[in-house]
Amino acid sequence: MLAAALPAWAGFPEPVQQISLSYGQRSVTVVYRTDGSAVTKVKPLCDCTKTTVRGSELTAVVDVSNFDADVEKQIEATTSDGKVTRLTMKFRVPPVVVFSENPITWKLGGAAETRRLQITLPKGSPVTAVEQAGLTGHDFDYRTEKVKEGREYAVYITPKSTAKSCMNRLVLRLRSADPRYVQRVIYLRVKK
Amino acid sequence: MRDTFTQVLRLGLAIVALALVLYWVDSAFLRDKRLPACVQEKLPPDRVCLDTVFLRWVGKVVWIDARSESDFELSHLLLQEKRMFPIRSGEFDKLFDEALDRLQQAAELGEPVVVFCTGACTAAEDIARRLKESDLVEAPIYVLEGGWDAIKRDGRLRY
Repeated sequence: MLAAALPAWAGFPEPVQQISLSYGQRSVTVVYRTDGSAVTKVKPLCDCTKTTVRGSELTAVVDVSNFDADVEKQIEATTSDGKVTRLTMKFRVPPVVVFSENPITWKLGGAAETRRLQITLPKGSPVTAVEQAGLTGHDFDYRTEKVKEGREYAVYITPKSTAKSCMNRLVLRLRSADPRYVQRVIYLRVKK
Repeated sequence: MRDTFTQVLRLGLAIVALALVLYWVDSAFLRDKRLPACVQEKLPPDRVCLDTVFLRWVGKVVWIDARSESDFELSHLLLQEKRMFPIRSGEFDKLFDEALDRLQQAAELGEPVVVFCTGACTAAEDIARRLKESDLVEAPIYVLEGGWDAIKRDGRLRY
């Protein structure tokens, strides 16, 4: 009678979970539950994920300290009915700096127009200022503008010529206590 | 005649018993660790078997190692002509920039980019996706089926 009360299959009603991370977050705990079967075997598909099982509940602790962009991580879970389910965790990672465009591309032979790169530092970001911009290459001119200290900056970039293909790097020096964020590169190119 | 038959029967039973024991040992301890044979035709178009890398491109690819820093430091591919770069989450921008010139050259030379991580992990898919989304890498990008485990097992690449 109990067996009849269970659905014909038993699995994970929510195999996909969305998790929004905060700046500086180092780990997150995600819980999956089945709707009947016990979880018998678990295989995380990332070294960043450690799992524990208690009956029909699977707990995953994920080391998110190295996540630098939106990412999905999976776990393969087997339940007592023999079914294997791939559980997915979709992590939304807040960007530390937002560029209006990267790479910035001019068409080969097209107009050598000035383009404005907008740089935004979101509230709460571990990056607190854009300190400096420098160009590696000689194919572009640029000037910087501080729109709002600590929040918004702009760089105006003009190719010297679009007669031949090229790629230069605009290297931005950023202020941050985290060494991972002290530099960002904007790619400037002229291409077909 | 009867004695011979009995001996053959005993030998046969012993062989069957041994086979059953070996089967149990394999199922209990070895099966999960064994890599299944890679069949290219059964893979999605953006995944590649190691055999295919050697057959199709004579090994002339640019390898991207998406494993963790600790795994990379332990051992990694030893190749000439700047054919291997680590690119991993957490340091993507910096490592991508270091590899970019060679990745762009790969397109000019007709070489693909092959990304791998440890056998069962999905970091390689993530790095491959970010390389494609950068809009800066025009070479075809594949994920290696079986990852680092397949490379070690195969033995043709030095590490």
